[in-house]
Parts: sequence; structure tokens; C-alpha cells
Amino acid sequence: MDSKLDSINLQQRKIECQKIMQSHPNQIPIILENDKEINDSKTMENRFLVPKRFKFQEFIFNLRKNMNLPKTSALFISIGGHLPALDKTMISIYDEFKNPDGFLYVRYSSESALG
Amino acid sequence: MVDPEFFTPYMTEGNQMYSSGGNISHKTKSKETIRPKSEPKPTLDEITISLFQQNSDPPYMTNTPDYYFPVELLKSNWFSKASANARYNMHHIVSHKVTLDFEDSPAILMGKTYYPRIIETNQPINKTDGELGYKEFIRDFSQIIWVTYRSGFRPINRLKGSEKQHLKVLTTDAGWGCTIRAGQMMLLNTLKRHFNYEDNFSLLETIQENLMTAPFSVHKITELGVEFDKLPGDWYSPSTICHTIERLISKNPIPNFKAKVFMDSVIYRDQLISALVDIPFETFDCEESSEECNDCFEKFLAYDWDASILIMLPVMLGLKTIQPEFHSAVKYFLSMPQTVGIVGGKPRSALYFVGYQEESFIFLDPHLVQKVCKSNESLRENQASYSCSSPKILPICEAESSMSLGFYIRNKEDYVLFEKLMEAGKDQINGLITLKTHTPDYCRENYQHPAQNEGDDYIIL
Repeated sequence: MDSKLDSINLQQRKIECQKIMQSHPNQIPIILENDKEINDSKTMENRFLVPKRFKFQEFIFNLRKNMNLPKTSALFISIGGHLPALDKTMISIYDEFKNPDGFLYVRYSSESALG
Repeated sequence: MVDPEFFTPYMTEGNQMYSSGGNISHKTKSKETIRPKSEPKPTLDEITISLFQQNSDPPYMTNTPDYYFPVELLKSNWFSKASANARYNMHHIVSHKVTLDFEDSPAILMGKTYYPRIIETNQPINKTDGELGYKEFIRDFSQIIWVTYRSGFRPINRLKGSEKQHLKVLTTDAGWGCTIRAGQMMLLNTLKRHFNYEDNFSLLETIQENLMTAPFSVHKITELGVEFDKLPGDWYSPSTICHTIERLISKNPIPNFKAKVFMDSVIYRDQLISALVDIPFETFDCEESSEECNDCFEKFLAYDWDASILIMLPVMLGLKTIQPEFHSAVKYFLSMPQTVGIVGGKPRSALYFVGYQEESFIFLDPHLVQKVCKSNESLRENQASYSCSSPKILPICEAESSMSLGFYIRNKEDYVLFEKLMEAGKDQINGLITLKTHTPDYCRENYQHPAQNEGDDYIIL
């Protein structure tokens, strides 16, 4: 779990989540966590608001442009240890995988190099 | 330590030999042949033959010893050839079930289905005329070009940083080149199909490590890999090798042949068609800002083209292993006639998947260290070392989830069929690959992402 959030307890996170969802009723609050190998946390914010109607694919594209990732780099996002199908909507993913605190935690992982 | 001349290839730029118009130049200037521009572009055969015949100096580097492994290199290399071969030859023996059992179920190889038969009695089961059986399977399997580690090749310098700090001299790719080898297999087998070759010889020449002019050798690949932050000796990921192949093909144009990588599991038709008809894809833009636009799709189909294309799609199908819902998708892709295999692997080692049987991939394994070929003759003699007649299998559930799918689309008819098959296989593909007509704005080079900050540390997408 994100280090920033470890210090805040569940109750506080719940309140924060409710607040942001009230002010943005059509958005899903998402927290992005890094996988071990990629570490460019200084170049990107890790909290996002994503429209409910977005497809998972759209979310990945938007993330890519936000991260200023080179066109040739691979970007793979997993949710709850699972890679969702690209045509799933964000709201259906949210309903399935949301954390008790109300946020959706997603993780981005690097591609494996093979020798 | 080593004479610097030793490292200098005769030609530094491979693109001279494939340059359009066919200006084939070589070190010996007096023998240079210049083709008039109007003449048709040379075929691969002509190109490779010319590499050998017009030069008085042998284009092969011949002064590397059989096993180029001085003691100091052994120490600096983190593993020696001996241990590499022991490791890689052993792992076949220890795996539980490695060879293909042909008696129970059909096998799919490069888009073709081969039916089972009882080998002892030679009696076909459920086999009607024209269907392919065991013999045909082995025949076709051994015709697939198999590329493995080689040792004793022309040294590659591992240099780092702008000062070119010298880290290592590599004379074998054992232990680090397997993704490159799998990529070479995909490229060569695609070209084999493109040129309709029965004999692989001239294709094999294009990857000869000690042939200076070979455009797709490990040397040329690692040279380009630096652009993708990979030094010689680094492990490549399946997507890196695809981008390298794309760059190699654009540097060494092959008549009527293109290669294109699509990221994020989406094939954009406008980019695909633009590569084929050679028009910038922005020309295909329409008023509708939608990514799907049927009118434009129809418009694309009104174009005519002669070129063929290799499409490479790096995908990730799970966190470590392939998620069960994607098993049917990879199997479906391998059964399409357009498939040219998959650069995939099992954890830490790359393999070239060429087909499947039930729940297992059929693959070619690059993890065998063989001696480099040092001349045209030695390549002829050792041509058999580039084919493999014992198919091996790997359960799909044990395969690494990162892989790159390859498709070869020969012409427009083939493209139409490809589209139909992608549509018809929707249930199996399960959303793994999608086709879209237009490239969205945010995937374009000049796109400026609007700054959207909410104040509460949230970025609104």
C-alpha cells in the first residue's frame, strides 16, 4: 500500500474518499502504486479521478500521456493482482475491486526482460 | 589487448545494401555496381548473393579462434560457454513433459492444423484427404528457421555512457541474447514467408554474426538497442526486440515489406494502412473525432497496395503467468493463418512459440550454444544447425505473461481476412487485442496534455 496512506487510518481515508466523490460524482478516485522496478514517482502524481464511463483502455491511454512515457515503453496496469480486459468499463472494475476505504488501487508493472 | 582494427566492420551502415534504387556499394570501390533508378528493386536473394560475389576480400570475419574465450574474458563474463550449455541443455532433460505427443489430439502449427494418427500402424484417424498429419507436421516444423545462441563471434564491445566506458568484450550471446534470438526467428520466418523461400540459405546470411554486412545480426541489433537503453549484454524484453526489429527494417528497407509495432494492444487501422500505402496517417483524419468510424474504414478498403506488413503486438497477459481467460486468445492467435509466432518465454528465458497442442505451446528454444559460422561454406555445411526436428512443448500456464504477438499480412485480401478473423474470434480473444480506425489525439506525437490540477493532489483524466 502507498506509504503516504499507511500513516492515515482507514476512517480518515474513507472520509477523504467520500469528500472527493461528493465533489466529483461522475468520477472514480484511483490511487496508482508503483511496482518495484519502475520508480519515477517524482515525475508523476499518483492520485487520479477517472470518469466512470471510461473503458479500461482509455484509462491506460490517459495515464500514458500523463506519465510522459516514451512511445516505445510498455505500460501495464493491474488491479487486485489481475489484468482487466481492455473493454471493461471503469465503473464495473471499481465495483469489483474497490478497497474498503472507497479508493481503487491500481498498480503498474514493468514488462519482464528475458535472457 | 585487441587490435582496434579487429572491431571495425567493413561496413558500418547496413542500409547501403538495401537502399532503394539498388545502389549496392561495397568496400572494393572498383567493383561497385550501380543500378539505374528505373530498374526494379533487388530481391533479397540478389542482395545477399551480391554480398559475396563482388568482393575480393571475404566479407566474413575469419580470424576469430574457434572458441574465443581467453581467460581474462572468462573471468569478466558472468558465465562461460561451458556452464551455459550445461545449464541450457540440461533444462530440457529435467522438465517433466517436453516433447510433443502426437497420438491424442490435433496440433496447431503456424496457423495450420495437423491431425493425429497412430504412428505404429500408419493408420490415419479422422483424417480425410488433404488434411495434414504427423509426417507433414514434422516436415513443416523442421522448415521453421531455428536460431540459437552462438559463440566465438566477432567481438561486441559493451560500452557505457557518453565517454564510452569500456565494460566488457562479448564474443557470445549465451546468457543474454535469447530474446534477440527469438526476435530473429520471428523476423526470419516472416521473411521466409514473404519471399516464399524453400531454401533458407540467403535468409540465414542476414543474421550471420561474422558477416560484416549482415543486416539483422546480433551485432546490428545490439547497436540499435542502445536507442532503447539496452547495452549489448543486457536482457531484452519482448517489446524492446519488436521496436528494434521495426527500426532495423526501416534502416534496411526490403522491397514491399514493412514492419510495425503497436503498443497498448490496439491496432490503429489508420497507421496500418498508412504504412502500407505510404501516406502519412493524418491524411486519413475525418471530422468525427471518434476512434471508430465505419465510413473511414470503408475508405481504407478502397485503397490498393502491394506491400506486406509484419505487425508486432507486445502484450502482457497477467502479472507473472498468463491469466486463464487469455489462454483461448493466444491459442486463437496461433491458429490464425497470419500468425508468425510469438516471442514469449517462461520466466527468465525467451522462447519462440510457433503453435500449440491442447493446453501447451509448441516452441523453438534458442538456449543452445553453437559455434558461429565463419564463411559462406561453413554456413552451407552447418545449415542444419538452423533447423530443429524435435518439437518441444510448454504448458500455457507456465509461460511468462509478457510476450509479443507477430502477424504477417501479405496483401489486401489477407488484410480483409485478418479483419474478419479478428471479428469472428471475439469470444476467444476476450478483448485482448482491439482494432480501431483512428488514432486518438493523445496517442499522437505533437499532443500537448492540458494541465488539469485540482488542488487536492488529484489529476483528472
